Amino acid sequence: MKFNTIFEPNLYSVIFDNNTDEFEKFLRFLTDATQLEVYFNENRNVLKYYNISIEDAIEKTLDLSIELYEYLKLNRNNLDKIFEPLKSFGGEYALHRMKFKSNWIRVYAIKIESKYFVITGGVIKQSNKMKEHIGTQKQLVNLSKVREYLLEQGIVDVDGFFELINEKNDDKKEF
Amino acid sequence: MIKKNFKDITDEEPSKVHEHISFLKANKAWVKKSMQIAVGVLKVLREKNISQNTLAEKLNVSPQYVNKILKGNENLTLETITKIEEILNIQLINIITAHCQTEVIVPQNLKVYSKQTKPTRVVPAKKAAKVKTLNTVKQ
Repeated sequence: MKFNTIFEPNLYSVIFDNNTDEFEKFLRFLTDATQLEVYFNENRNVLKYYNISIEDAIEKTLDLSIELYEYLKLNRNNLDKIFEPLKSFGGEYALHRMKFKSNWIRVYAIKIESKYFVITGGVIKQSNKMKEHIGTQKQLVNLSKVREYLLEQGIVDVDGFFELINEKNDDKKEF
Repeated sequence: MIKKNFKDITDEEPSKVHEHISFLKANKAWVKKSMQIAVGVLKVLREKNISQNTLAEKLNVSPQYVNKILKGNENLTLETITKIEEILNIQLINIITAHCQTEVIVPQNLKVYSKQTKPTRVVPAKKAAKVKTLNTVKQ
């Protein structure tokens, strides 16, 4: 498992495969008419809830993706203020599961101490409970994967996380 | 574990998301139009059950290029847009003439485009009169 820098030194994103981090994957999804058209056709309840056409929803999602990026950039030193803990995982002692929400967009991350976040993915939200929707179920799995990995590596604090990234860089340099 | 300086990780490759967002911000105006066109085409492909591969064959381009067009981030030429319109029998763009007062005479056997998002006001030839119009529809 590897990590890309989004906004130094506070925001990172996990890479599961294909050398593309999950934040980049999500923003590309939000700006891809083909993927959005399929998504909104399969999830028309989002359109009903917001009383919006597919065409307008796709256009709005493009705007939201840029706003999301800018908002995270603007608040990169205050991520703790804009991410909130996932309610169903209260009581964890470290590496909290967090989410950021804006309109129908959700971004999920693992929090390392109070300032550092690793984005594990994002989704267009359509129902109240995460467990009900297959897309958000996948986000729960991603959160768990990253959390377990960090715990296995002994990362429960920021210094440990940076040491892990440095070790990954040293491994790369050998090749 | 040896504690290392934070600067050791600044060689880490930044996410390519920055390139993508910079591109979108710099080109937002036409990207929006490209997305609107892509959505219009996707809607018709779905309704007429036409695959992207079929559209590619008719356009005489690769399926990868059609895939790119339909993502909605492609700077399309007027030629490509017109070809798509002809193949799918749809209208994707109107030429808008603002602040124009002109006489519009429309033949009674006007070909009505399917799936127009904005209905065009049709003035039968018998009742030709000076009308104020913002749209000039290409016949």
